[in-house]
Amino acid sequence: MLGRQPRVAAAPSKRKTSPGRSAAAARSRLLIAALTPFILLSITLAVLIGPVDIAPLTVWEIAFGKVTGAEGDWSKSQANIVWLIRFPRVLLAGVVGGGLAVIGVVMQAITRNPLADPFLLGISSGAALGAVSVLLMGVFGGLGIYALSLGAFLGALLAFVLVFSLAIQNGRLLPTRMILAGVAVSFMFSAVTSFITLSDDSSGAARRVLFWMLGGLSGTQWQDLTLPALALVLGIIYLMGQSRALNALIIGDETATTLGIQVHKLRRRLLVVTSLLTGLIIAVSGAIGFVGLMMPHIVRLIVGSDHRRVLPVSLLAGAVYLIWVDVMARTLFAPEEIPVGIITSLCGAPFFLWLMRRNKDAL
Amino acid sequence: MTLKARGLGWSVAAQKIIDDIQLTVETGAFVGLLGPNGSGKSTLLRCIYRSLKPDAGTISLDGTDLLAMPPRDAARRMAVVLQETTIQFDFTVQEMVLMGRIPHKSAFDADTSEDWHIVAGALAQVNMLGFRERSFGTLSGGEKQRVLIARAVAQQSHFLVLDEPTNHLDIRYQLEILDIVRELRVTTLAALHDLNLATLYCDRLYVLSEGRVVASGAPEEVVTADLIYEVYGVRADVATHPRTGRMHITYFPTSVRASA
Repeated sequence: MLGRQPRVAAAPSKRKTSPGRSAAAARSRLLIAALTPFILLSITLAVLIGPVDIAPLTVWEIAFGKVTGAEGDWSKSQANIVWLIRFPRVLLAGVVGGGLAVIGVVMQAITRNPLADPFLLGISSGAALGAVSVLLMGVFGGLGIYALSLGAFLGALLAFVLVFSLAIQNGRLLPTRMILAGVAVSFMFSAVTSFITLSDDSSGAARRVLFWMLGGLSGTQWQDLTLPALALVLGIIYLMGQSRALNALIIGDETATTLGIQVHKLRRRLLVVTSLLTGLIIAVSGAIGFVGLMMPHIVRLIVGSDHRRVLPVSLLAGAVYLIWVDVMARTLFAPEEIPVGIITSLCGAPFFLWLMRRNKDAL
Repeated sequence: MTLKARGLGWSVAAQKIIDDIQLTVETGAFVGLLGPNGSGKSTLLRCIYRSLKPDAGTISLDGTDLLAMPPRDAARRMAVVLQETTIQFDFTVQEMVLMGRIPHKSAFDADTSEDWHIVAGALAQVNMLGFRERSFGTLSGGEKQRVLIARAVAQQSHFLVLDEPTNHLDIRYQLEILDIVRELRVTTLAALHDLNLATLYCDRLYVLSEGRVVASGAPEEVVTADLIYEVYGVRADVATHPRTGRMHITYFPTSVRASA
């Protein structure tokens, strides 16, 4: 048998108390242990920061009071600001940031390209087009508030399938073609979105569409949070179950096949899962770029490439990152707000260029 | 574990890349697959490790239909060492070898200490235990190949397939890799491009030419001057080497051929 335990093996692995506990795994556990309380701290601070001053403890007293119905010594306007305006927005920033980071991880695995990102590959503009079609042309009108999410999902899926089939030549996925196809698809969808917007006479149309193009979290309500949060929880559970398969997938299709993975089936499923997540997130946040590119890359530098570590750490890191970027978006030029997507692009585009120079093989 | 391929064929755009292949690998044997570039070696191996679906013929492993087997079951029976490709994402050596445990794991299983012992054992078998925390991308070609063999060992299968494992390696590492594979004492099918190495290590050889098996048998029966000329178009002299007792092939350049 091929895996006979040879004599040499037992000695060195017994010397260590736990074989295989690598430095990267230890760093990963430490990072998760540190990031989890840091998220709570970030949420508290992000809710505090704003034109109306609120004490840290009051934030959680109000939250506790709202959930349990308890009374406390805070004013009604404080409660409204904290509970109805700031909390949903900060939590959504966490869900959107974590979600985009996870989407980036999976897209990079599917395409075996560390430069893949929903924004760069045109998936986000597909989702934005889907959302705008629903908004302005009343597609899926019967579905009420879910119509927007469905439209964004279908748009994302369409863009992903399009970019993917354009990037394959003779059964091989070509990274350069993929980025070029992504740029082309992105421009095409943006053009269609602009056309639909300009043909619409209603006064608010252009403004609302601009919101999707730029990405922003202003005006978030509790109900915006439900679908993306639910999808993210289910999505991360499914993806963690596939994390070993994702590891094999980024080595190569043939290697994954010889390890017993049904590559085409897995890739199709991952494509649908990421499109669904992208669609549901972008329906509420608009196209926020580069989070899915930056977060997984920084995380991999620290914890290595094993998806069992990359997925949870990226989720936490993405959440923290976007919570703070959104704080900047609200406060930098207060009382004016900048769309959060502008800041992520200002940070992300130079990062992408740096990565491109560093990873010469990827393009 | 015995592998039998019968009447195997695969074609693309009406062109037969391999045709009517009969191949048997008996339990415990080290079988070499020879043939010039484009003769269909890789295609035949791809059909066997199920990366390609043959459009004719059958493959069985110990009597079980390999092509109908669930992928995970097949991966537990057969491990494959492919030609090394560059990867964009970096794994450590032990993470690469741990992937050999994938066919033995369900979705949410944790890595057990048994898994880590298997990984350490596999790395020890290829003399790479000291490299376990090293990043795979920083290794030399020969070291990478040894890690990939360790991954196959960790897979604990009974049948090993190798696609030109010595390609692009210095001669020292070519010998080292084949020594390691032979010492695993597992049923092995390997595509090789060096005739001298093939006769040195293999119990049995199959020679492919234009997608068909043109010769098979023990190295001394198969490797003849006539066959080499027929398949490779090269004049050569085949003799038994006094020290290895194995066949040794000397190729003649055109100048020697003309004066002979």
